[in-house]
Amino acid sequence: MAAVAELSSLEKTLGLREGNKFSTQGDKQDLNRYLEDKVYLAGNSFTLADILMYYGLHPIIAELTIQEKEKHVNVSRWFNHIQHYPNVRQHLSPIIFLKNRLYSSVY
Amino acid sequence: MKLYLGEGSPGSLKALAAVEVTGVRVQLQFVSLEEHVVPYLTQPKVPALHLDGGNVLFSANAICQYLFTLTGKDQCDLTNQWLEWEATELEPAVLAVLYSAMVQGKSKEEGLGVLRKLLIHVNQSLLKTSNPYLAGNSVSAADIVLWGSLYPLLSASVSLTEEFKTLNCWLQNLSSSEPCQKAADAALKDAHLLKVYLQKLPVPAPLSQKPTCNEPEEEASTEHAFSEEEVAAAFQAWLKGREASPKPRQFQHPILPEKNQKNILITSALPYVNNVPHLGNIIGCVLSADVFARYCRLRNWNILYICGTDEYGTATETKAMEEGLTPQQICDKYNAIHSQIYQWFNISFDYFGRTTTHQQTEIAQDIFRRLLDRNFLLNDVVEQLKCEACNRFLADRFVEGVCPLCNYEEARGDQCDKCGKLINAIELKKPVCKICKATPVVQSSQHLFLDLPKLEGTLEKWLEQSWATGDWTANARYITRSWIRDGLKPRCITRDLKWGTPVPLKEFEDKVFYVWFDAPIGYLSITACYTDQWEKWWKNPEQVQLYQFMAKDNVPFHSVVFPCSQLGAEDNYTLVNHLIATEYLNYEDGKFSKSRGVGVFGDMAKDTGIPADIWRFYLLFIRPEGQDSAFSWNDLLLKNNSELLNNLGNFINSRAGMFVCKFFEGRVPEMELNAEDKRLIAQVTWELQQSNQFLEKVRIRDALKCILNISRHGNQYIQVNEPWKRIKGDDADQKRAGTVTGVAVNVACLLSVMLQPYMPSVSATIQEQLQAPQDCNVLTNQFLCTLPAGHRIGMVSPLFQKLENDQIESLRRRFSGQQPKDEKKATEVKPGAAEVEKGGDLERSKELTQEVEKQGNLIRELKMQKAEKALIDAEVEKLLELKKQLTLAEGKTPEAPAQKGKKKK
Repeated sequence: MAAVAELSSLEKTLGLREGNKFSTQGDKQDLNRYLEDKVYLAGNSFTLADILMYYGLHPIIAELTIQEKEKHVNVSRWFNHIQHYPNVRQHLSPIIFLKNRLYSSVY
Repeated sequence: MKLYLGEGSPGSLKALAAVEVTGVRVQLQFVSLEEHVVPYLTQPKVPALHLDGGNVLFSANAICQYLFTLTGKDQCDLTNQWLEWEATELEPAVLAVLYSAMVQGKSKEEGLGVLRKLLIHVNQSLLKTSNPYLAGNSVSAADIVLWGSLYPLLSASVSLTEEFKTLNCWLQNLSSSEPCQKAADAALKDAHLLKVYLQKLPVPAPLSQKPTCNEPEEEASTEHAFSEEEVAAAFQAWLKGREASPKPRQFQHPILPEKNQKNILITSALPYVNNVPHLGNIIGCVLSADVFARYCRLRNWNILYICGTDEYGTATETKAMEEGLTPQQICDKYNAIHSQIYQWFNISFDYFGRTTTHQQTEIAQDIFRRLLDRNFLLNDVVEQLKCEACNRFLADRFVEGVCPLCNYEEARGDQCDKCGKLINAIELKKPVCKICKATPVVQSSQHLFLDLPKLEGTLEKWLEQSWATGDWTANARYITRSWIRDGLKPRCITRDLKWGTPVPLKEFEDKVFYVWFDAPIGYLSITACYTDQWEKWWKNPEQVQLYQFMAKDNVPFHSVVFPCSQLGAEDNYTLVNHLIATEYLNYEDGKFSKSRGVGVFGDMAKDTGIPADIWRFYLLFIRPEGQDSAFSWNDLLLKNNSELLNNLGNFINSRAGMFVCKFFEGRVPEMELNAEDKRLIAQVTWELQQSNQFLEKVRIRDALKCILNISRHGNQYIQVNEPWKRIKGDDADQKRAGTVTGVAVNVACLLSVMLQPYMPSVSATIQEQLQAPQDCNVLTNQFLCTLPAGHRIGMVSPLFQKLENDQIESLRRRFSGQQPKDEKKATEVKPGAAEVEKGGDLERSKELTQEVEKQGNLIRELKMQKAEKALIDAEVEKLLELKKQLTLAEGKTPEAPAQKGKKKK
């Protein structure tokens, strides 16, 4: 299903851009819900989609507070996973995610 | 596979066309636009393609591309490129145009600017390849997607001009092909469906391409290429240094027009005295006018900036009744409140006056007599609404009812808030007295009218000339034009009231002038209070340029009614040359509302702990120029932290200033400029000139962007040259570090001058830190080296404070007005320095919340029963106490942010 993967990658990058127009929160919640039962964006392996999305999201994630990262727990889990792939991160700064939850009472 | 589609959505049009073209077998289903077909998305979205594997594609372009892939055709890079371009560039632009044309009913020209460039791009590409289709000889996903995007434009009858001939051919060719026709028939039967779809879009989506959004429009400014001449000229100017520049003008009161000088008279709409102005009022007139006034002073122009409170009228009378004071006392009280607010916002009026003066009476009566002598006044009997319960004639704004034109239910007697049309109070359906809710009766009374139809010819001649030579904002021209087009009618200028300028005629003894006739004369009378030589400003159209600032609702009075009074009086009055009207500023997603306690009002801005200059900066950054804009707390935080802290603040003191202190013992180092430095100087000069051009046209927001660009260039310059590393290197490196630091600190000094109109205190702080000479406060078109080598600077400390999320969040809650009316007051009460329990007590606060609610209900009941005032007051007192306890129990200290945001000094 390489084609689907490719397409999904496009879909996601497009979706991301479109989402930027709305409040970033709503957008990331969408992605957060999408990632609820997934390890990668498209299919069951690492694809271009993950890399593109990682680059698209980096500036946004970098600005998030710890609480916000916790709120988007699936996105955070996925992001942290992707940024540790060899050679993905390149010049971008690593983003710290806490392992233990601080705001669990919120849920 | 199943494809979900929605009628009227351009995306569905694309997807359907792709299905038709490729012939792929797909199950089609039309759903309503509200249906959620993508499980994980919070917003409904069509089209969506459910794949057999369980995946869902929800972007129209991806669907098209996928369908084409299934036919086995290879996707070439060109197709991908087109698809991406369509999604990021074309589609948003098209939607913006459609949205503004079909939903907001604006002219189609508005968005076409952006779109035009894009259309040219498609046209050119088609021309260049001479292929019939975008990516080769057959229809590809790119063609379908672009067609689907552009087709709605045509169906909304936006026509393409001759210059897009090739594009038009291509479009027609596709539109007439069978698959596309089928798709259009099914998904977009008529333009109405499209409108329905557009209305459902979240408003910011189509607008964010250009309109209302508060983002800077990324223009080509950074890409401006500099010729060698430009660079050389900028460098020559730099070398000349401070001596070459003029000295700042010394203003001496009274400021009067001078021969052979640029004499500029600035007025901002007179705020009505019985209200505390909100942020929208402030940005709309006084603040905008202030920036322009300060800018003019920096340019050494001869300017006078006046304003004052508009104090006459029924609203004042009523307010006085409410508060148990005389109208004069009310005016005194609120005039002081207004003055304080503007003082806090650092508004640099040359004179802030008021309309309740004997000068007002003299000038208004003089204009009146002249109009009377010249037969521009008519006498007529008016049917007026009189409330028998209150025993008085009701002023327009004290009647509410159903608008006769649009059936809006809460139309005021003078104007309908919904359709914006002026109405006559007696035409209202179901009129109600706003004070006692009784139904008023119609009674007749003698009144005088200004004969606008008789003055129309003169007015139009003047307008034509003023528009040709002056800078009127587009909305001001538009509103004026539509007023004249609707036909001018005589307008009543007298009222049955006491609180106003008396009409100097025997038979009208118990009447006063109507505020709209009276109020604009306030500009003249306030000037007359400032100087007895006021006529040098106001009867001197040859030498004086008059700039008037206001929000758009005030335009007709300044462009039609008041000029008619002036023209009719035939006394060589100075008429407005430049009418600068802003659009509305919304608060978060709605309107400011005093009664509901929504939004930030002038007197509260101070209590937020955010310094006045930050307010000024943000309000100017989102100034509703051209489009309505919205105040948003999040955006305020973002702009403060990104633009001020990380851009400006970072450059001016964390870098430029700090390096001089740290590496060069506080002295500006020697500079030996190389080509790169000169290019920076040219760049800065160019931005400076841009900013000047913008401000001369009163495009305040655009000019601010130039300033921020300069700082951005400065940051890049330092980043590239890394003086903090070079200072540790060899001699040459150290010299280089010196040059870079020296140039940077001079850019910082220029910024301090350019910032002065926007953030006067920050500007002063920077200049103090840099020990910049007072003489530098002049703006020309040249960037000079004001701080020569050897100049000693002072102590450098941070200019801006970071705004934190929780601080902004608590402010947002505080001004959201969600608490019921009775409790509103309570939230404004700050707990004293009383003991604050840290962390808060959940149980206790729950209890208290309930008690507060109970008490609130009790008070409401008492009020309903019209209980005695003393009794109600006592209960309100209890409520306040409860609220106070609640705040403490929740561990909040409304004052906490105040300390945080306080300025360093």
